[in-house]
Amino acid sequence: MSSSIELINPKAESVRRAAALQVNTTGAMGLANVVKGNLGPRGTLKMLVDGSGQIKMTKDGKVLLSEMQIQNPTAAMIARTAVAQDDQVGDGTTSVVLLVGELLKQADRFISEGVHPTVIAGGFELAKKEALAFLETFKRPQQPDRATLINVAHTSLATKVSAALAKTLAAEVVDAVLTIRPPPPSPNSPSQFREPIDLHMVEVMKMQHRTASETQLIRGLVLDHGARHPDMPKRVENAYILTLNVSLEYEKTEVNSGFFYSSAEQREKLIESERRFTDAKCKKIVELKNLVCDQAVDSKEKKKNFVIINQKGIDPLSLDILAKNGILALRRAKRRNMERLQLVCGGVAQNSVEGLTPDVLGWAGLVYEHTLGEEKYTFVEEVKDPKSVTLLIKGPNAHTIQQTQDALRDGLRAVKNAVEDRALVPGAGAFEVACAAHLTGPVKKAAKGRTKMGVQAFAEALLIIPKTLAANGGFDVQDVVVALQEEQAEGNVVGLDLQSGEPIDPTVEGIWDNYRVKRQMLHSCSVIAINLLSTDEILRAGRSSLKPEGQQ
Amino acid sequence: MKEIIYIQAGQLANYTGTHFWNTQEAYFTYGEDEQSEIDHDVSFREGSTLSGDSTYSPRLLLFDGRSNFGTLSSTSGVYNSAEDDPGEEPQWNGAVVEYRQEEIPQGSYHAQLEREAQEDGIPEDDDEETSPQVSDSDVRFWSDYSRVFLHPRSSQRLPEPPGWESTEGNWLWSKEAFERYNAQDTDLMEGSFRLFVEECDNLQGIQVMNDTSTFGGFTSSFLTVYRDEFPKLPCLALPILSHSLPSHIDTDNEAGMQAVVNDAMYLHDLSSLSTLTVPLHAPATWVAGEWLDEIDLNLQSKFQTSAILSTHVESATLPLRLKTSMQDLDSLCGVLNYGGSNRFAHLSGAFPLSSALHTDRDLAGRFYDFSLRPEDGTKAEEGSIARLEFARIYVARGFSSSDRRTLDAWTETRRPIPYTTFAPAYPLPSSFPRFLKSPPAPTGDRLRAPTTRALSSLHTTPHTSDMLAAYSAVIHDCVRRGAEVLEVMGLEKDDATELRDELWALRDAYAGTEDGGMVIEELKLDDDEE
Repeated sequence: MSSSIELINPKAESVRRAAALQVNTTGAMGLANVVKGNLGPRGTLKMLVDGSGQIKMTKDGKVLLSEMQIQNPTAAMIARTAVAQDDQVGDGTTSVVLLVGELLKQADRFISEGVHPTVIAGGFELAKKEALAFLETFKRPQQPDRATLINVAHTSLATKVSAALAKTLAAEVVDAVLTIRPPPPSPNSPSQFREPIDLHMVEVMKMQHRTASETQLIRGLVLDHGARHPDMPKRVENAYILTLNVSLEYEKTEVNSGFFYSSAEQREKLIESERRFTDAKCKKIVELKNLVCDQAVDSKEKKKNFVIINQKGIDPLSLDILAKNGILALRRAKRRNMERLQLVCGGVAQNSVEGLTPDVLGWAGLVYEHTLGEEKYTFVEEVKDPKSVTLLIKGPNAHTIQQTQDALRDGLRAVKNAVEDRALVPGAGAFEVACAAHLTGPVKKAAKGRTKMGVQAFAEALLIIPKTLAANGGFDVQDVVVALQEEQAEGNVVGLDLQSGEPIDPTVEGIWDNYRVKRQMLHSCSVIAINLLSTDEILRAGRSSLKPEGQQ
Repeated sequence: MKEIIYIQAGQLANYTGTHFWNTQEAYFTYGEDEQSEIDHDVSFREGSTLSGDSTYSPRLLLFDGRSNFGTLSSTSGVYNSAEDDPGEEPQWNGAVVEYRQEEIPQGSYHAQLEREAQEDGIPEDDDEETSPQVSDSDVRFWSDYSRVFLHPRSSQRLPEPPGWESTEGNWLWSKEAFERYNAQDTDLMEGSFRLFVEECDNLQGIQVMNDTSTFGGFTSSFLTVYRDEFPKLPCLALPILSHSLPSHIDTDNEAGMQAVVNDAMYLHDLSSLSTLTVPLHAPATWVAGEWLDEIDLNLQSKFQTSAILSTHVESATLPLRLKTSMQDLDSLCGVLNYGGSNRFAHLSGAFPLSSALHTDRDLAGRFYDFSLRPEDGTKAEEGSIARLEFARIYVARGFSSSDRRTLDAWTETRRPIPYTTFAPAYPLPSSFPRFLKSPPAPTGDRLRAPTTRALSSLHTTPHTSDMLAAYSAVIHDCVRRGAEVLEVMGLEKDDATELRDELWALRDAYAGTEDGGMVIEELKLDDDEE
């Protein structure tokens, strides 16, 4: 029987009904098998080496999915959803992929016995709703203190980097987030809304140098460039910081001036007058410097210095003027550093040199340059009350740095989530075990007719998380699951200890997951599984039509 | 010092760019008493590796799909710090699973170069036989014949689209690719590009070459961000258009239509983003003729066609890099577009010139215009006297004094009088395809490439109106039919109408001056010549 689409477009191919579902199930399970090994702190690290010998080390489901060139359309669709999950909440990619694969596998069991896919899909829908409601009762509302947050960060980091490194990084990550956290609204302000945490205010700077364990939190800012004038100081203390967005480059006037002068002298004159304009801007800055930095020769005060960090360019002649006046000047700073600098040193970024006053200046106790090969770094440190910080990642080579960076990114997100959620979920598979029990118990009982089967399948599927954790830890999957379920039936919160393979209480061990990650995970996996189940025809349009009809 | 930052995006652009950089490398001089006429600092940056060795690498950002990079990896070349053994990785105490793609073997040209470098110590006289060369079949990737070492920041590897999606002419996909790439931790504009800019004392502008069908939307987004930061800095764009021509396109050919609409959208964006745009037609649409008399050209070979493109692009922009020349991107664009409304120019040229210059031959039949729609080729010749040019610059490579006199005498008669720059001969490094019927004699010095003569030119001409009109007509037709292709490209009906009208307005800027305005403009230019 040929599909109707093939009548319209003879080049189109189609698979229908059972075959279509089969294609989707195979794709989903195939993808799940690829990422399965990643899950948890005992998962395997993947090392990807491409044809040119370039190395990438990752355990992050998101990185893996975006690195792999997935050619199966179903798998690509799941991968996209999973990557979107990561973009939204910062974690849970691997779990989503695993769950989708398992949901379809469980559904397949019922479907092969003659249950219609939409019935299962209906059950999934109900189970998802109940699971989300259960999550609300299962989460532990609390305003986490620093120690708890370090546990949260550690749980996340330990799945990405070695235990020793995770330990050092966890504290740095928590301190970074707590430093940049906006203060609570004052009790008498009209809106009691607390600004969300903006992780962009944590600058992540990479340095190919020494080892990953030297990765550290800098309470200040590290810039990836240095002064471009040999006579500028390399290290200054007690410095005023001027954050600037003003071009200090010679600029030709807008009009094509070619027609306006008839001799070389005239041309020189025009250039000179244009140049004077730039010089005047430098002079204004120098005046401000003299105003704030002038000290009596025999003054006992500490010497005052002046640093300019400019988002626009500074040409050699301007650098010269500034250097002669003992000013350290950096050009072409990152756009975002303008904002960060104000948070780090205080002061106000200036878009013009007109009317500069001392109160627009920030302050830093120490500004110094560090050179590594051709790369220069400028550290702005010893600041008074930083609201923005830098995580300086070190490592012997590009792929170690990248691996640490991926881990830090996840750690930062986990801490931010925990602070903003004001709630945590016990980790180590505890939620999945408890939720599965809840679904097979009261929920299934209350469900009507065949929907029960969907609920059952959903509950079974959730167990893939503790099962995979156990498998990656090298334990017998069945033993572990049975032990966990028994312990859970007694009413305890129970997770899996990956060192011993025994049930433990994750709340005691300090293994915590993010509430919003679990919530998003339940959403993403059920939505995509239901979509795939409801598919009864897959079309591959012929080359002549570029957009498949299915897309709207 | 006036630096240029170069941008290459897409496969053909990178093929061409590789030739371009090989030529730059061929200008290097190694002897103490040798003085190069080229100011290398315009295009190259000095740096040093972690171990303190100094390096000299292009100011270049190149974009391509990951699989098109071949053996080029970001850790290869001069910045290769002794790679730690990944087996001793202390970062993870669990198991490590390796996924290895099959290693791409070294290209034969690079193998030959290495062998040559090793033999360097041993004086041998049979160099003539063994000197490395590239044959067409050896080139699998553009990196296979590259002679320069790139800075790790230069290579920008883009994720590849899934195999079942075609990205040819897919404007939206291409735009998204940029957004995604720029937003991720790669931090393109705030990272790599900014750092190149930071190094420059006095940036004169950027030169952009890209494949339009695959990288049109991408480059357009790139330039939008660039313009945001640098509203005035010049940009010379050299888009390589798709092989679908607006005048020949069959409305049933959806992929072709998409490519044409994509070209139209990109040209339209360039008209406001770029200071000067030189559209280049895809080699597949070149019309063989007298101009290929001295070349054994395989039009199917990217390696060969890109060499021709590169020759003329390199020559025409050479004044920007000559020590003796006062020309910079700003003045170059100013000369060609002195009226301010002609932002599109043509690239043309004759290569190679193996015998003394004959103006009737070398400046007519042998002078091929790479920006002219081929179907206009014959018309153009007949009408070339009637249709005056707005402005033209010639760059003559390796001309003898008698050739110079011939050319000068000829240009005297032209109105407006073209600018001519006489520059050293065009070097042919060993990576250059051997398709010349009368190849230049080797120099006998391994460090000095043989040279040949060429004449290249950039000009603004009313012919551009034909191209813009054709694109405008296609869009008009699509709007009228309510064609599906517009929807696929993300164009609302109003947007499409606007696109059509604006293209037509651009056309008017070229066609309108054909009659009355000409005389006044001629006078102006004469003035400037003094």
